[in-house]
Amino acid sequence: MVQIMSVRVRLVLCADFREIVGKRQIVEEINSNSTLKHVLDMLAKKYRGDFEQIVDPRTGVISLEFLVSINGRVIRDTNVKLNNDDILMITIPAGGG
Amino acid sequence: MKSHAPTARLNIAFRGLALTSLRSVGWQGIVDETMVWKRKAAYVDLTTGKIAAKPIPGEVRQLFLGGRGIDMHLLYNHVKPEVDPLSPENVLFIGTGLLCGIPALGSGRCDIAAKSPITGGVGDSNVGGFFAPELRLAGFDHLAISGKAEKPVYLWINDGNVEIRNASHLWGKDTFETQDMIRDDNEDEEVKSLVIGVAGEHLVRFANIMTGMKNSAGRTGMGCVMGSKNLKAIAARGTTDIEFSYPEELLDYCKEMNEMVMKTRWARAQSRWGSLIIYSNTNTTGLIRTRNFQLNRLDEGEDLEPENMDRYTIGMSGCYGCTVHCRHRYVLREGPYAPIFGEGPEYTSLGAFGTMLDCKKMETILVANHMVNKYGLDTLETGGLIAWAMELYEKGIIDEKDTAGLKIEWGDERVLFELITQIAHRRGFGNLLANGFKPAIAKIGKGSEYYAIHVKGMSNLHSDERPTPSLALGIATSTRGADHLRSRPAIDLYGLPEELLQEIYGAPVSSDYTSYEGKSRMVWWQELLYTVTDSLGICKYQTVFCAVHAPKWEEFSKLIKLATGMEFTKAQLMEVGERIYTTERMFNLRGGFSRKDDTLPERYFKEPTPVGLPIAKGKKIDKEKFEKMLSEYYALHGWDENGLPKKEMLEKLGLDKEPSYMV
Repeated sequence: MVQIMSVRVRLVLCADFREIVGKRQIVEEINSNSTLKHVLDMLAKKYRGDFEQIVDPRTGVISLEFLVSINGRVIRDTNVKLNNDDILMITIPAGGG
Repeated sequence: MKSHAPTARLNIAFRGLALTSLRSVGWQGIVDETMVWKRKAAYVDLTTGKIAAKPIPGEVRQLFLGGRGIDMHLLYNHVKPEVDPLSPENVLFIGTGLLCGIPALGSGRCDIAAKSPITGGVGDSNVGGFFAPELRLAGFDHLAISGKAEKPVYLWINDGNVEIRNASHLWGKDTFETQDMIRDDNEDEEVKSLVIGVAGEHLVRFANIMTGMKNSAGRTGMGCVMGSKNLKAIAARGTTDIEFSYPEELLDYCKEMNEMVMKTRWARAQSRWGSLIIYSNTNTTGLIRTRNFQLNRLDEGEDLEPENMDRYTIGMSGCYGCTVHCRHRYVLREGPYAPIFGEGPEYTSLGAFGTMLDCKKMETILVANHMVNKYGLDTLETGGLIAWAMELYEKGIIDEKDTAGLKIEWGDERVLFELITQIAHRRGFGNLLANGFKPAIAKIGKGSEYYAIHVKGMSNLHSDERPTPSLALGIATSTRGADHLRSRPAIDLYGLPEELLQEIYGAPVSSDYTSYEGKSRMVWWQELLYTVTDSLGICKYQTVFCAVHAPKWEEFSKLIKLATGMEFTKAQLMEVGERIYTTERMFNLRGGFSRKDDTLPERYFKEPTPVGLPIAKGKKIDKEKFEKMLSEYYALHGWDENGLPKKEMLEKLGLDKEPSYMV
């Protein structure tokens, strides 16, 4: 029998996403086999709005209008597996000064 | 470029350009007789009181566009290497951009240049607001101000006339009062002014020039140069016309440009939160210097998050020709420093008075922001020097004997406010800081230089570039000292697809912002883009700075054509950028700068970042890779290993016949 473990990821929300959720950070407990796609789908279903637009339906990867990083590394392909204590930042492209 | 018969003559004021060099770059003539060829420059000698208005030669337009480009051409040709920045021989140049006045892309920006009293090299600062269009409406595109007035004066520019007026009653007034009084004096609410505050009067080396409540030409000490000339203000009011070549088509295209900008998330976020929005991303990751340079993230800094500005904001405002409106208008109604009405702060001021000093309250930032705007001080230099002093105090390199009894401790807002006041009035310990990094280091000694985060004598903003080689290279190579606005490839932080990066930059570039691969190209490309942006007089925030799908070369070309009739291909515009940037490089080389100055503070190479997300933690700049990147960058510019422009590049740019006091 395969035991399904869970992992905890911290979501840091910035810009519009912070306003939609009303929080700067949330912690989600997810299946250990979960990918970024699973988490984004879950958020889209729960919060709708801009969360539904993060993945570009034409390309299947994260839209250039948004910026999603895992532990600081910017991610475009959503088929990346998430690990315990990962920090997932969901924001818009804004940087530099 | 389109060929027509030349109709203008070289003007003696624009010396240094030989027709042979113009022909060598493919220039053959002037396009037509529309607006751009009728514009004038005013030459004002404050010592003699002599004023001359002269046309701007078409050849100069073709080669340098306007704004920063023409300012740099004039600076190179009018200010020799031996000139003391605070002497009457230094010349202050004010320039409107080539596109100044179009209803798009924040086209009201004004470029201000002189030899810098901070670095001794290129002094140049770019300011938004409404002054530049007013100056254009008043009949002038450029001003060149030399000499020194015996008593305080201000320039009054109105419908083709320039007048030197008494400003004794304005001396000692802050920047807001000065602007109000000039409007009152002229009984005209529409007068727009560039002014200095008490900091400029006291020759604080990093005094800024203000216009409006918040817009400041902050960097490189241009307000100090104004003060050295006893020039309190430059006021403009105009009712003349600005003509465009294809007005109807231009209007349609401006609408298209504004829509293009507002489609970007970046612009819409700016409209909501201003540049403070950047803080959430960079502080989360660990890209912000804190406690001067000891940490790269501010913990417990939640009060500085952009949504907290909602407590104070009464609305957003913008500059001329802007649809974004990124500027908070704020009110402090309560507390020991109330009431305050101010504008801003920028993300950079949040760093200068917040993260770098370990101050964690938004109110502290708002008060400090208001103070420096009122006194006329550059926020970045002020914050950078105070952060440095706090670290020196912590490490025992300076103590209360040096600071006249002031305990300069982290996070103490009273110390921050006191030091801002001291610097602006050159009192106490602030008098030492008012001289800027180089003289203060020389005075303090005791290894204090190691802790100073500056390049070429100018303070860096609060970003920590150790995890981001492209951003690090940019502050090292900037012609005006540590600075993000000369080249910062902010889109490097977005992890864009490499195919897209190659399309933009024309060669392979790594999408990993911690990589060194292709980053020299990014910096070179952005330098050219921003140089042209500043010469057109439009806002960088509405170009490929922070938004990848914002206007760039192709859009610039079309706007220039519709506004002026001049035609440039993308390659030709990039060459204009190269010409202007190389002119700046030559100015610095002539003044003694070399490859050794294109570097970073030692700590970037020695101390790894202590905190942050895994990608940003434990990072420092690899010296060997940095030097390789620097050499690649020189090669892209057509400069040799020492950073000297090669003969063939100078010939290509038409700069080989420039004045003999070249390096």
